[in-house]
Amino acid sequence: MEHYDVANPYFGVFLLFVITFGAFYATTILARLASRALAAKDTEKIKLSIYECGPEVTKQPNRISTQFYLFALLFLLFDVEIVFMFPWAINFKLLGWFGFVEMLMFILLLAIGFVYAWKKGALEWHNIK
Amino acid sequence: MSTLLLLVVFLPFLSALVLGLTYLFDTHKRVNEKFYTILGVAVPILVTILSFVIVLDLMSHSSTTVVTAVAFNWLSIDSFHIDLAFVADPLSAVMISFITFIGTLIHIYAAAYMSSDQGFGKFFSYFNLFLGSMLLLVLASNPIIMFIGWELVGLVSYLLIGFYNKEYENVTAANKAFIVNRVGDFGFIIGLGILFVAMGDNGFTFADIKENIYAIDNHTLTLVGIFLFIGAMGKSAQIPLYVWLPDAMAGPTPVSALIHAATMVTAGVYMVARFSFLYNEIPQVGEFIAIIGVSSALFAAIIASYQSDIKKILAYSTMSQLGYMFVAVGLGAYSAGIFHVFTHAFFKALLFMGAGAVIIALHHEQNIFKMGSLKKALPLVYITMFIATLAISGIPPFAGFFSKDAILNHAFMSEHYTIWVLGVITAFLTAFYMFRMLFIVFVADMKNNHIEHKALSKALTYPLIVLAIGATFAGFLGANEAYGGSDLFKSFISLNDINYSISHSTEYMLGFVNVLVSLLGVTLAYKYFRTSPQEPLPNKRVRTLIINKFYVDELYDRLFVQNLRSLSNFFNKTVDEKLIDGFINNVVHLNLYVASKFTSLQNGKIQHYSIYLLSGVSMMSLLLIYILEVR
Amino acid sequence: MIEDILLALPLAIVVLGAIVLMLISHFPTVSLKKYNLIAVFFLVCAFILKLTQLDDSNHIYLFEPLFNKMFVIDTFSNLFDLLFLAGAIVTLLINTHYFQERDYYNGEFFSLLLFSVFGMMMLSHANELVTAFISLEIASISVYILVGYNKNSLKSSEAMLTYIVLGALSSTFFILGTALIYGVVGSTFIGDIYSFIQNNPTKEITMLIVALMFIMVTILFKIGAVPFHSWVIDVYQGAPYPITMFMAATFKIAVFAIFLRLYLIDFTHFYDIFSKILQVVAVVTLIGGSWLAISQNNLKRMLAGSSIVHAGYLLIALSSIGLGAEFAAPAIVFYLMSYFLSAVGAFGILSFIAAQRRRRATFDDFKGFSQERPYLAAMMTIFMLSLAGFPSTIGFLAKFYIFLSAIESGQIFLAGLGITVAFISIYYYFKLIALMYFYPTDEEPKKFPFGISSSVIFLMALLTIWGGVGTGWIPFLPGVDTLVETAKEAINSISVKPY
Repeated sequence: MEHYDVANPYFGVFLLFVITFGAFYATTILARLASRALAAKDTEKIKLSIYECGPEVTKQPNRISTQFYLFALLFLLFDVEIVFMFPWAINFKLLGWFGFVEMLMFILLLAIGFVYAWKKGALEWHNIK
Repeated sequence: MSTLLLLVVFLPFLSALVLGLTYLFDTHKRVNEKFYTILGVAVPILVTILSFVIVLDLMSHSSTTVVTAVAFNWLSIDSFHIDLAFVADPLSAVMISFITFIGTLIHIYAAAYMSSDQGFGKFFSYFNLFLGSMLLLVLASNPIIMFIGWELVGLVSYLLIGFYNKEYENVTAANKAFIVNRVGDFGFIIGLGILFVAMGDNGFTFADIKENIYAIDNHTLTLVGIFLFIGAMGKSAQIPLYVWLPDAMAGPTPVSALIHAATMVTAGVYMVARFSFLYNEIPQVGEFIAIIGVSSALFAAIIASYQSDIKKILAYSTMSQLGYMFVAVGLGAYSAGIFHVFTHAFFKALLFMGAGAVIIALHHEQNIFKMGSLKKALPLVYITMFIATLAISGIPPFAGFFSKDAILNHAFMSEHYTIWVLGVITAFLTAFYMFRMLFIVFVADMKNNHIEHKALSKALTYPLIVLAIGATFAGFLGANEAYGGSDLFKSFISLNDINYSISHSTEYMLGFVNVLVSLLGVTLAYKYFRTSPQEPLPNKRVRTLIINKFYVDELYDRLFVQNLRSLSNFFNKTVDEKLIDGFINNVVHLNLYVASKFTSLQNGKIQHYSIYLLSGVSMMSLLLIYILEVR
Repeated sequence: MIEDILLALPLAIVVLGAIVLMLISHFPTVSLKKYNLIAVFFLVCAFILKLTQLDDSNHIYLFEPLFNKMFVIDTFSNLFDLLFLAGAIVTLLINTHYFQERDYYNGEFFSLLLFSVFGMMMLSHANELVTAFISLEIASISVYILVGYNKNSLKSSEAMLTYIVLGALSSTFFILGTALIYGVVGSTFIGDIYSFIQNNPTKEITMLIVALMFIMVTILFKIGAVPFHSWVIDVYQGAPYPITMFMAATFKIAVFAIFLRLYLIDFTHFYDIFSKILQVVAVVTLIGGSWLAISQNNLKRMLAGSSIVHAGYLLIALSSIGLGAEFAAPAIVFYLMSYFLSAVGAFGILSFIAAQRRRRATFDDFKGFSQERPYLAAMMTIFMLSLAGFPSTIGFLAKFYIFLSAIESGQIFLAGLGITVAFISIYYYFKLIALMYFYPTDEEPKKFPFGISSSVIFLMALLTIWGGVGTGWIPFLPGVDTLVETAKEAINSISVKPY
């Protein structure tokens, strides 16, 4: 078998990758073994309770509704789509009708998604069907 | 003509299939017996007509003409082909004509004999299958197709002997027939195998073998001849493989008639005659065959003289007559052998059917010493049976005389005097035990005879008349010049006989001796059994020996069956359970153990799973580095 | 252009069907049966259209002015499209019954399934790595959601999480590989990579080998080869029956669609290296999969384990391609088809029973099944025989071709191991048959339930047997020969390439 050249600059990355994993394993497994062997197996009630920097655990007064994440997600989605429109707007003359039709189709697809989200009630607070 | 030939073989199989399926799916017994009867009998009749047409066609041509029919290519390996093909040359044509004819009569007889039996449809399905298998065997154009027929015949005989399979004895008898036949078949297939290898690329039909027989050296041929004959021993019940034949009487009487007269047992003789060109090359094996034949003939005749079961007497007589046939084919008188097969078919079918009629009339009584003076009650059966007995005893002008005479003459002329003497003694014994049976059953006045007789239907008796005519006149077909005939049979089937010229005076002298010893036997039987016969009691040593059939069954049991059984037990209990099962079980347990360890890695935790994944990636990378031999 | 539109129409129909289903899923009046019918309608339309285009032997780039050479249409992709569509149709039809018995199905389910099929079809047409990645993710993400579709079931949700995390992790390798390839070649088109490799000495492009290996990691993960198999059993068990069936039979084929294209073109010069890697992976996959399968008590988990073993057989054939087995690549396509038939049938029966009555999950639940439902038991037996590679079923022929190609390429050891593993597989397949037939049951015998589901299962059983024995016995009906010929043609259509 012919020998392969290591001169390629990317090959270092690869080797690093391999070695990192090796090291990662070694440490993980060692850590696991060590902790299993050394850790005191104490199962008091206090120990198993949730740790909150000292004070007693209380109910969170201002929990964030999951609805918020959905809003954020949708916002991100439609906001990012706008990014596609800027280059198109700048090159509008260059692209001509072809670009126009393309963008119409893009917006149509977006609209379908939007209609779906709307109908699903994702845009209303506490009203997911 | 070739289409007709195909029909001859396939029709019985087809009707067997139809009958069998009808019987299987007719779980509520809605189908009338008439349906089975009509289909089951019509097909043999049709086949008979067809085979007569074929025989007549062959007769009208020269002796070398044959009818061939190729159904399809059965096996094709490179340039080697085996066709499912049939050949009707004079030999096989004669065989099928009497097989179908007598088979048909037995079918008609069976329709009456088996009526109102639970398994009527099944019976006729088997019966047609039996006929079809025999026709396949006889008409096969190459030994391999013949072997298929050979095996099918064995299978169906097993099914039919064990037809009343609710009773243990019948099943044992069927098993015995099957197993003993397998021993023979094993020899047969070894013989075929050797022949096949010896033939090389020259094709494997009978015609090919005949052409290339000179290319094979004599030792190989001897081996082939002996092994093929072992097959014949099994099928045709010769020493030492005859033990199944008497036990085969467990089947219904029509089955016995079919096995003994038309199908099965004649297969061995036919096979040797079919390979006549082979056996002509090896006269020493022929002599061996003749010796086996004549000893079987004598042996069976001795046993038959002391039997008291009507069907067993007939069974041993068949074995004895088969012995004659083997004497003939062994010494090269193939046409005489086949001629005896031909005449024997008539009178043996007649004897069995007559015996069956007697048994039916006496409500399934088979012991001849419990019969007697049935002459008045069953006159027709008496007369026909009388004719048959005359025929088998070799009294002229009945059929058996001519064929037996031809065989014994041949033995005498080929200077095998010992065989001739033994043959003559057997002829004497044959006449003796056959007339003994006849007198005891029909003539003698028995005191214990108070059984009511059952009326016999026409279907039971009419075939007897037809057969009686055959048993009387069939012999003339083969009568030679000395007896005013013209050797019709011999010249038609034209086999490679070894011929001896024989003067008429010698011929008459020998014939006279035969008739004389037969008449002596008849007289002896008349003297002892005409009036008040006694059942033979095992009170003397020799007699005990004979009544117990020379303890051959027991000997075989001790020698083969028990040893084999203990060997099987050894394999079953020790080798199989301990060695093989133990090994396999250990492997399985080991695997299961490892597997359970491996499966325990699947603990459902994603973090662990990703570790496996990444470890896989690094292992693959390491492997890649290793393969690339990076420095 | 018009021709291109016509060729793209099946894809468009599928995506249109998905959108329609998505939109109408808000109408409460539409019943589940109608959703199913609509989905099947669109799929069948696409299927028929595709069938008419199957024999387009010329190599066409779809909308070349627009997409450059991103999408290719050849017999290979058409054949795989047909398989995906057939897989989806069969999955939907077999589970008709199941959908109605579960309350958590709605229109979006079908929409997602169609999106997934769309992704797979894109995948088989993809001629460029980024496109392939996007298609793979369209298909995968839809399947992720489908796996966790039963939100109320903890197992289902857990399976989804497992799958999504691990799937994302493995997808990164694809991206990593693509990036490295772009770094080396300066293009991600399959054809460009090929010509780059051809014009440069092997020694200098070690990085490319590494990149291809990373891409292979993703593929191996998706087909569930050991050591990337850890998700298979849990996900298969957690997913609803229809999705398990879809993943086992259809999704696996999709992964092979892209991998075969890549392997037959871009890997050509590195066969000696990758055959070795694949050999090792095949060995551990066969052994590990067998161990997993024999130690399972749950039928669904057992089938999941056995699907790993089947992936192992496919890897044998893959490594044979590189070592000069001429027939290995068509053998893979044929094996995929045969596995599709048997696995869909087996999972179909499981889902059918699961829909009918109390859950039958473990082997023990199947004791005496033959007395209760003789016909279903008989069909299950057929599928098990086929999966085990029993002669006179299509599974036998498929295995036979694989082993033949392994022997042809000189990998006697792999062929021997494959046969050994096939023997081991008899243990867990026949265990079910034995349990069904040799144990008594208290259940009353039930009539054969005629319906769409059972007839489709019956059809699958028939095809399994037909594929095993029927070769030209009946005129006008395609036998195995036709399938094999089609597979060969498909492989030829990518091998003969105008790059």
